[in-house]
Amino acid sequence: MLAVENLTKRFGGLTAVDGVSATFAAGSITAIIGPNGAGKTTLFAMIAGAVTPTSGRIVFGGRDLTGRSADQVCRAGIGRTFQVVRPFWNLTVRDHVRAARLFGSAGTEVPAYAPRAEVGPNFSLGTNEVLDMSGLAARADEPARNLTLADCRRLEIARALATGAKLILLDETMAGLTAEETREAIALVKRVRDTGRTVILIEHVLPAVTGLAERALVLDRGMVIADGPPRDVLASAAVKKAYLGEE
Amino acid sequence: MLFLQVLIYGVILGGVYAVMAYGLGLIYGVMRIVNLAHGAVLMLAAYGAFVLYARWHINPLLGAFAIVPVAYVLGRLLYRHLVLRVAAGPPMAAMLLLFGVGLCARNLAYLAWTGDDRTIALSYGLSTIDLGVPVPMTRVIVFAIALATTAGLFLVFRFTHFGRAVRAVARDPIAAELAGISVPAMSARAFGVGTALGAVGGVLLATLYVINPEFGGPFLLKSFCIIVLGGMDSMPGILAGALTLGVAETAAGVYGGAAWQDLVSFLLLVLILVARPGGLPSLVRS
Amino acid sequence: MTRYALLAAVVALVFVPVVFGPQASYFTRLAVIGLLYVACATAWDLVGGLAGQVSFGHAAFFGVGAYVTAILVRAGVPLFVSIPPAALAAALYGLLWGWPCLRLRGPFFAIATIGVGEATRLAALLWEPVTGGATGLTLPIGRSAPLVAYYLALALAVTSIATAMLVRRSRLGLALACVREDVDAAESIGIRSGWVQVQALMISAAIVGAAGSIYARYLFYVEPGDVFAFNRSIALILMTIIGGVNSLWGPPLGAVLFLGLEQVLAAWFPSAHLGIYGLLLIIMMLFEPRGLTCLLSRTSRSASAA
Repeated sequence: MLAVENLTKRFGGLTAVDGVSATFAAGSITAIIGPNGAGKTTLFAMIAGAVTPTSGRIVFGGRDLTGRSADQVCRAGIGRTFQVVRPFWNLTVRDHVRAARLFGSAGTEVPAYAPRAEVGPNFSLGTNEVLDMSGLAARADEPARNLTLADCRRLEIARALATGAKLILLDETMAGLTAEETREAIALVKRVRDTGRTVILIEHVLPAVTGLAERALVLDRGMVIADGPPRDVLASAAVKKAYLGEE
Repeated sequence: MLFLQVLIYGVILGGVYAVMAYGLGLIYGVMRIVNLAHGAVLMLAAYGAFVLYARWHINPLLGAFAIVPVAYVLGRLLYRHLVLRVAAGPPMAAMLLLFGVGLCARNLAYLAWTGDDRTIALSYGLSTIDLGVPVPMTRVIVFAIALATTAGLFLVFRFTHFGRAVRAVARDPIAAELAGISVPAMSARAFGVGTALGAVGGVLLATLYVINPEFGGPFLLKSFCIIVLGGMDSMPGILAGALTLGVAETAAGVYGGAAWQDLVSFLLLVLILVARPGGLPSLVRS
Repeated sequence: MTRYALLAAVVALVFVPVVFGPQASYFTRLAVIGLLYVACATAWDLVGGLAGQVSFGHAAFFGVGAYVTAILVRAGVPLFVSIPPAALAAALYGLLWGWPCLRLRGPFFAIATIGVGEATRLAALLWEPVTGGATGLTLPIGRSAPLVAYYLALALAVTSIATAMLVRRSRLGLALACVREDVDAAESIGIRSGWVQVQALMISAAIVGAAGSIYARYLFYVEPGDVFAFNRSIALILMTIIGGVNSLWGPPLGAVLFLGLEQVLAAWFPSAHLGIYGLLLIIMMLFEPRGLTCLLSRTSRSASAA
């Protein structure tokens, strides 16, 4: 579904991502883990089109998306959430979902000045479906600024889903959640995967990694240092060293 | 020969422009607020210099010693009572508030001094120094002061606690707070110092240009142009930006005429904002 | 406001000059200016409120519209025919500098617009062969001009409000709201933030350009210091802030209030314009930056909760 080839990003003298290559199968859930500053969010930013790679390629569903802008990448079928939640604070939950449906990959056939219409098929979900799936139906008409953190994270996932994305990038969705909220979030991500979508998540919260992901990629200082089933990867010496330092 | 003249006059002008812009850059660097009242500061300081000169025949360059501390105090008062209240909201609110302050100041100037042009004619007005081209003494002295101010600022930023604290807050307010620097206290002091620096700029400009209540407007725009060129919060960048504008303006005036001179700063501003918002420093870095 | 109240208001406005008669020139003058203010403030809010990009340079569009009409009318083109080209010219001008500048966020965009507004004024001053420089251009006088101007201004005000209503309800309006809240998040759901903002600017520019066009024909005289005045841009900002940013009825309300304020100041405090506007801005920013309509809805909510 998605392949990154030798992806590199340099900011001035700092190499944030260094020659990362990986492929992600359709319908899989992959976790990207690693110590802070390893380049995980930068990697996401490149895939999502928010940052232009210094070198390397991004191929999604057979199409070369390298260097395309964020809105083009979205229309190609990739959705994302943000590490620090960024909802549209003064818009209602329902408006978030509507907007995503209108402008995402599912909405490209609707003319520019049409009143906010409902749109159809093909990896796209109805507004109410999205609201139900993400558990936000009860809060649908509240503005985002009234939501709790957990609900905001749900909202971001709902927003990304509603665009009709086939691949969803989740950036530290579980951060700052209570144990109960984390369980609910894990369940939500599983529901997302069950719709046939591919999920890649950056996570520090280990129960989420082991509970959700079939595969874990470990990044350290911009490079992939391990790749495999989560339990194996977490037990490896190299990964322990990256997180904890030398003994 | 003409080229040399443009260069020398341009650099001299640039030096003065730098002092004019430092205050704006400092306030933006520490608080991320664009001080739209900066023009008013320049204008009031210029009138201050004029009043001292016209009433008591005090040389404005000496009069600055009185004007600048007053500006510092006014700046801190302005910050504490007005700016602070809107600092937490959207950045445009602070900008519009300061713009309102600028409007009030202009009105005060009209009421106090009418719209008539005022000038300060210094005693060494017409004598010149030969630096390859004849340069009016006034300009040379003003440039020397501008240079001294720049040097002083450099020393302050490098070696004093205030300077280092300012740089820390400009870099990363959260980290600075963690390192024990009180960001609100720094902001208040920075606003005061920024206003004081603006006052220095205003006094210097008063010796070179005609003063009237609309004095601040064009110079505010030029100050924007300079800090954008300079990368918004880098003092050396501001100096570089000021020199660039000074030379560009002088060249435009000589080769194109007075009208083009005014246009230059606007064009440069829009051009840089659009092409390289990071200013000159970003050009150097890449 | 109910539909009927609105309809009644518009009908009343249509017939008022007939009732008052052509002698009431003070009223007509005030009404023309007021209606143009309503049109411009509403248009400004599409960019400043809905899109969230505060423009300090809208006078540039007003002036462009005024000059295009002046030039065309002097060449023999009837007023009505000259309005669309004026609006179009303003819209294209908006596209020209809007496309690069709208990418800038918040304060930087505002500063860029100050630059553009002033640069446009200077350009008009310099481009003598076309604009007549500082002396400006005069238009041939028409007898029925004030009445024609009144109805044109009324039509423009209605069009402006109707356009704002349509845009706010449309897909474009939703996109602009998202961009205003968070540009990056908006792009992550597929919104072309630059293009969407440019559309808003072009629509806004066209309306303000048309207003300039009507103004030119009404005054029979355009000169850079008047139509491109920075104070005009400031007035638009003030009107919208007073009345209510990002709302349909805020800008018209603010425009009418500002008109009244202008008249009061001119009559009783002629030398305190700037100071009063400044104080207004300061007070508004301190207490209710989003304007009167927000203040009113806040107090009515707390009153009904009590």
